Amino acid sequence: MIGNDIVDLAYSRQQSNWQRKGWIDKIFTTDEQLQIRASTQPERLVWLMWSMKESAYKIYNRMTRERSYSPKKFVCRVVTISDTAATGYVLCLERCFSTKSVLTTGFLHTVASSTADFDVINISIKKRAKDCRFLRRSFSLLKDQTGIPYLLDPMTGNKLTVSLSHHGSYEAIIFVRE
Amino acid sequence: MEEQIIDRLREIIMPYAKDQNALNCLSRNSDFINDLKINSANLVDIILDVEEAFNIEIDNEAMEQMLSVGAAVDIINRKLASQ
Repeated sequence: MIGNDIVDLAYSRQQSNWQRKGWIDKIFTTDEQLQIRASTQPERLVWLMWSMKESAYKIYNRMTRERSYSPKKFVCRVVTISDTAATGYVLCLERCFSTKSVLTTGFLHTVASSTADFDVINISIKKRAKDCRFLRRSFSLLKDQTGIPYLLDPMTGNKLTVSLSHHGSYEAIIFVRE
Repeated sequence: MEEQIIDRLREIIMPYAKDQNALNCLSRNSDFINDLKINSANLVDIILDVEEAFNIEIDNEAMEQMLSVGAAVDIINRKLASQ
Protein backbone atom coordinates (compact mmCIF):
# COMPACT_ATOMS: atom_id res chain seq x y z
CA MET A 1 0.00 0.00 0.00
CA ILE A 2 0.99 3.58 -0.59
CA GLY A 3 0.36 7.00 0.86
CA ASN A 4 1.69 10.45 0.07
CA ASP A 5 1.69 13.97 1.40
CA ILE A 6 2.74 17.28 -0.08
CA VAL A 7 3.53 20.46 1.83
CA ASP A 8 3.54 23.81 0.05
CA LEU A 9 6.21 25.58 2.08
CA ALA A 10 5.09 29.14 1.26
CA TYR A 11 1.50 28.22 2.09
CA SER A 12 2.50 26.51 5.33
CA ARG A 13 4.14 29.76 6.43
CA GLN A 14 0.85 31.58 5.91
CA GLN A 15 -1.38 28.90 7.42
CA SER A 16 0.62 27.41 10.27
CA ASN A 17 2.87 28.79 12.93
CA TRP A 18 4.86 25.75 13.97
CA GLN A 19 6.62 27.89 16.56
CA ARG A 20 3.36 28.56 18.37
CA LYS A 21 3.56 27.45 22.01
CA GLY A 22 2.38 23.87 22.34
CA TRP A 23 2.21 23.14 18.60
CA ILE A 24 5.29 20.94 18.42
CA ASP A 25 4.39 19.18 21.69
CA LYS A 26 1.07 18.02 20.25
CA ILE A 27 2.57 16.51 17.09
CA PHE A 28 6.07 15.27 17.76
CA THR A 29 7.49 12.71 20.18
CA THR A 30 10.11 13.81 22.71
CA ASP A 31 12.83 12.34 20.53
CA GLU A 32 11.54 14.09 17.40
CA GLN A 33 11.37 17.38 19.31
CA LEU A 34 15.03 17.00 20.32
CA GLN A 35 15.99 16.47 16.67
CA ILE A 36 14.03 19.57 15.63
CA ARG A 37 15.70 21.68 18.32
CA ALA A 38 19.14 20.40 17.33
CA SER A 39 18.59 20.99 13.62
CA THR A 40 20.10 23.93 11.75
CA GLN A 41 16.98 23.90 9.57
CA PRO A 42 14.17 23.20 12.05
CA GLU A 43 11.37 24.35 9.76
CA ARG A 44 12.41 21.88 7.07
CA LEU A 45 12.60 19.04 9.58
CA VAL A 46 9.19 19.92 11.03
CA TRP A 47 7.51 19.65 7.65
CA LEU A 48 9.56 16.65 6.55
CA MET A 49 8.49 14.66 9.62
CA TRP A 50 4.94 15.99 9.34
CA SER A 51 4.70 14.73 5.75
CA MET A 52 6.21 11.38 6.82
CA LYS A 53 3.54 11.04 9.51
CA GLU A 54 0.74 12.04 7.15
CA SER A 55 1.77 9.71 4.34
CA ALA A 56 2.15 6.80 6.79
CA TYR A 57 -1.24 7.64 8.31
CA LYS A 58 -2.81 7.32 4.86
CA ILE A 59 -1.55 3.73 4.61
CA TYR A 60 -2.58 2.96 8.18
CA ASN A 61 -6.05 4.37 7.53
CA ARG A 62 -6.42 2.17 4.44
CA MET A 63 -5.29 -0.93 6.28
CA THR A 64 -7.41 -0.48 9.37
CA ARG A 65 -10.21 1.78 8.02
CA GLU A 66 -9.86 3.60 11.32
CA ARG A 67 -9.64 7.35 11.57
CA SER A 68 -7.87 9.15 14.36
CA TYR A 69 -5.80 12.24 14.93
CA SER A 70 -2.75 10.87 16.66
CA PRO A 71 0.41 12.23 15.03
CA LYS A 72 2.54 11.25 18.03
CA LYS A 73 1.75 7.57 17.44
CA PHE A 74 3.52 7.81 14.09
CA VAL A 75 7.16 7.82 15.06
CA CYS A 76 9.58 9.14 12.42
CA ARG A 77 13.14 8.05 11.80
CA VAL A 78 14.99 10.09 9.21
CA VAL A 79 17.76 7.83 7.90
CA THR A 80 19.29 9.98 5.16
CA ILE A 81 18.76 13.66 4.42
CA SER A 82 20.34 16.00 1.88
CA ASP A 83 19.33 19.38 0.46
CA THR A 84 17.05 17.71 -2.07
CA ALA A 85 15.99 14.32 -0.73
CA ALA A 86 15.38 12.27 2.39
CA THR A 87 14.68 8.65 3.24
CA GLY A 88 13.44 7.09 6.42
CA TYR A 89 10.65 5.12 7.99
CA VAL A 90 7.64 5.60 10.22
CA LEU A 91 6.71 3.24 13.04
CA CYS A 92 3.07 2.97 13.99
CA LEU A 93 2.23 0.44 16.69
CA GLU A 94 3.47 -2.86 15.24
CA ARG A 95 3.70 -1.56 11.69
CA CYS A 96 6.56 0.06 9.82
CA PHE A 97 6.37 2.00 6.56
CA SER A 98 9.33 3.17 4.47
CA THR A 99 9.38 6.75 3.25
CA LYS A 100 11.08 8.64 0.48
CA SER A 101 10.92 12.42 0.27
CA VAL A 102 11.79 15.13 -2.21
CA LEU A 103 12.71 18.55 -0.86
CA THR A 104 12.65 21.71 -2.95
CA THR A 105 12.46 25.36 -2.02
CA GLY A 106 8.77 25.40 -2.98
CA PHE A 107 7.46 22.11 -1.67
CA LEU A 108 8.25 18.97 0.26
CA HIS A 109 6.76 15.65 -0.86
CA THR A 110 6.85 12.27 0.89
CA VAL A 111 5.80 8.88 -0.39
CA ALA A 112 5.24 6.08 2.13
CA SER A 113 5.14 2.45 1.13
CA SER A 114 4.35 -0.77 2.98
CA THR A 115 6.67 -2.71 0.64
CA ALA A 116 9.48 -0.16 0.13
CA ASP A 117 9.21 -0.88 -3.61
CA PHE A 118 9.41 2.75 -4.70
CA ASP A 119 10.41 1.91 -8.29
CA VAL A 120 6.86 0.88 -9.20
CA ILE A 121 5.30 4.07 -7.88
CA ASN A 122 4.43 6.75 -10.39
CA ILE A 123 4.60 10.26 -8.96
CA SER A 124 3.06 13.38 -10.52
CA ILE A 125 3.40 16.74 -8.83
CA LYS A 126 1.86 19.83 -10.34
CA LYS A 127 1.35 23.42 -9.42
CA ARG A 128 -2.38 23.67 -9.22
CA ALA A 129 -3.80 25.65 -12.07
CA LYS A 130 -7.19 25.76 -13.73
CA ASP A 131 -6.30 22.54 -15.48
CA CYS A 132 -5.19 20.26 -12.68
CA ARG A 133 -6.89 17.20 -14.04
CA PHE A 134 -3.72 16.04 -15.73
CA LEU A 135 -4.13 12.40 -14.85
CA ARG A 136 -7.85 12.09 -15.03
CA ARG A 137 -8.05 12.37 -18.79
CA SER A 138 -7.10 8.76 -19.27
CA PHE A 139 -8.03 7.32 -15.89
CA SER A 140 -11.15 7.87 -13.83
CA LEU A 141 -10.54 8.88 -10.26
CA LEU A 142 -13.16 7.24 -8.06
CA LYS A 143 -13.72 6.62 -4.37
CA ASP A 144 -14.97 3.49 -2.66
CA GLN A 145 -17.71 3.43 0.01
CA THR A 146 -15.26 4.36 2.74
CA GLY A 147 -13.91 7.33 0.80
CA ILE A 148 -10.62 5.74 -0.22
CA PRO A 149 -9.67 6.76 -3.76
CA TYR A 150 -8.66 4.50 -6.64
CA LEU A 151 -7.98 4.91 -10.33
CA LEU A 152 -10.03 3.01 -12.87
CA ASP A 153 -8.31 2.19 -16.14
CA PRO A 154 -11.10 2.47 -18.72
CA MET A 155 -9.25 0.21 -21.16
CA THR A 156 -8.76 -2.76 -18.86
CA GLY A 157 -11.26 -2.09 -16.08
CA ASN A 158 -8.42 -2.54 -13.57
CA LYS A 159 -8.41 -0.64 -10.32
CA LEU A 160 -5.11 1.01 -9.43
CA THR A 161 -4.09 2.01 -5.93
CA VAL A 162 -3.79 5.77 -5.79
CA SER A 163 -2.98 8.35 -3.15
CA LEU A 164 -3.79 12.05 -3.48
CA SER A 165 -2.46 15.03 -1.64
CA HIS A 166 -2.97 18.73 -2.11
CA HIS A 167 -1.74 21.69 -0.15
CA GLY A 168 -1.62 25.34 -1.11
CA SER A 169 -0.83 25.54 -4.79
CA TYR A 170 0.49 21.99 -5.18
CA GLU A 171 -1.26 18.77 -6.03
CA ALA A 172 0.38 15.34 -5.96
CA ILE A 173 -0.96 12.05 -7.25
CA ILE A 174 0.89 8.79 -6.84
CA PHE A 175 -0.17 5.39 -8.11
CA VAL A 176 1.30 1.93 -8.46
CA ARG A 177 2.12 0.96 -12.02
CA GLU A 178 0.89 -2.41 -13.16
CA MET B 1 -25.04 24.77 26.87
CA GLU B 2 -24.24 22.58 23.90
CA GLU B 3 -25.28 25.32 21.48
CA GLN B 4 -23.05 27.77 23.31
CA ILE B 5 -20.11 25.42 22.92
CA ILE B 6 -20.85 24.96 19.21
CA ASP B 7 -21.07 28.74 18.75
CA ARG B 8 -17.73 29.14 20.46
CA LEU B 9 -16.29 26.38 18.28
CA ARG B 10 -17.57 28.12 15.17
CA GLU B 11 -15.54 31.21 16.08
CA ILE B 12 -12.46 29.08 16.68
CA ILE B 13 -12.85 27.09 13.47
CA MET B 14 -13.67 30.08 11.24
CA PRO B 15 -10.12 31.07 10.25
CA TYR B 16 -9.21 27.48 9.31
CA ALA B 17 -12.36 26.24 7.57
CA LYS B 18 -12.18 26.24 3.78
CA ASP B 19 -15.86 25.36 3.26
CA GLN B 20 -18.03 28.35 4.11
CA ASN B 21 -21.30 26.46 3.74
CA ALA B 22 -20.19 23.72 6.12
CA LEU B 23 -19.17 26.43 8.56
CA ASN B 24 -22.59 28.09 8.33
CA CYS B 25 -24.33 24.74 8.79
CA LEU B 26 -22.07 23.69 11.66
CA SER B 27 -23.53 20.87 13.75
CA ARG B 28 -22.40 17.91 15.85
CA ASN B 29 -22.05 15.92 12.64
CA SER B 30 -19.63 18.35 10.98
CA ASP B 31 -16.35 16.61 10.24
CA PHE B 32 -13.33 18.91 10.52
CA ILE B 33 -11.46 17.43 7.58
CA ASN B 34 -14.12 15.97 5.26
CA ASP B 35 -16.82 18.65 5.67
CA LEU B 36 -15.07 21.80 6.81
CA LYS B 37 -11.98 21.06 4.66
CA ILE B 38 -9.64 22.02 7.45
CA ASN B 39 -6.00 21.25 6.78
CA SER B 40 -4.81 18.51 9.12
CA ALA B 41 -1.86 20.66 10.25
CA ASN B 42 -4.39 23.29 11.41
CA LEU B 43 -6.26 20.77 13.57
CA VAL B 44 -3.47 21.28 16.08
CA ASP B 45 -4.21 25.01 16.08
CA ILE B 46 -7.89 24.30 16.74
CA ILE B 47 -6.95 22.01 19.63
CA LEU B 48 -4.66 24.70 21.09
CA ASP B 49 -7.37 27.35 20.59
CA VAL B 50 -9.94 25.12 22.33
CA GLU B 51 -7.55 24.59 25.24
CA GLU B 52 -7.14 28.35 25.61
CA ALA B 53 -10.81 29.26 25.11
CA PHE B 54 -12.17 26.71 27.60
CA ASN B 55 -9.13 26.63 29.88
CA ILE B 56 -8.82 22.86 29.61
CA GLU B 57 -6.06 20.47 28.63
CA ILE B 58 -6.65 18.12 25.73
CA ASP B 59 -4.41 15.10 26.22
CA ASN B 60 -3.23 12.75 23.47
CA GLU B 61 -6.10 10.31 24.01
CA ALA B 62 -8.73 13.03 23.68
CA MET B 63 -6.91 14.54 20.70
CA GLU B 64 -7.17 11.24 18.80
CA GLN B 65 -10.95 11.59 18.78
CA MET B 66 -11.03 15.25 17.74
CA LEU B 67 -12.29 14.68 14.21
CA SER B 68 -15.74 16.22 14.39
CA VAL B 69 -17.62 18.98 16.15
CA GLY B 70 -19.60 16.38 18.12
CA ALA B 71 -16.41 14.73 19.37
CA ALA B 72 -14.98 18.13 20.30
CA VAL B 73 -18.16 19.06 22.23
CA ASP B 74 -18.05 15.76 24.15
CA ILE B 75 -14.38 16.22 25.01
CA ILE B 76 -14.93 19.83 26.15
CA ASN B 77 -17.91 18.79 28.30
CA ARG B 78 -15.97 15.92 29.84
CA LYS B 79 -12.94 18.07 30.63
CA LEU B 80 -15.08 20.89 32.07
CA ALA B 81 -17.01 18.40 34.23
CA SER B 82 -13.83 16.87 35.66
CA GLN B 83 -12.45 20.23 36.74
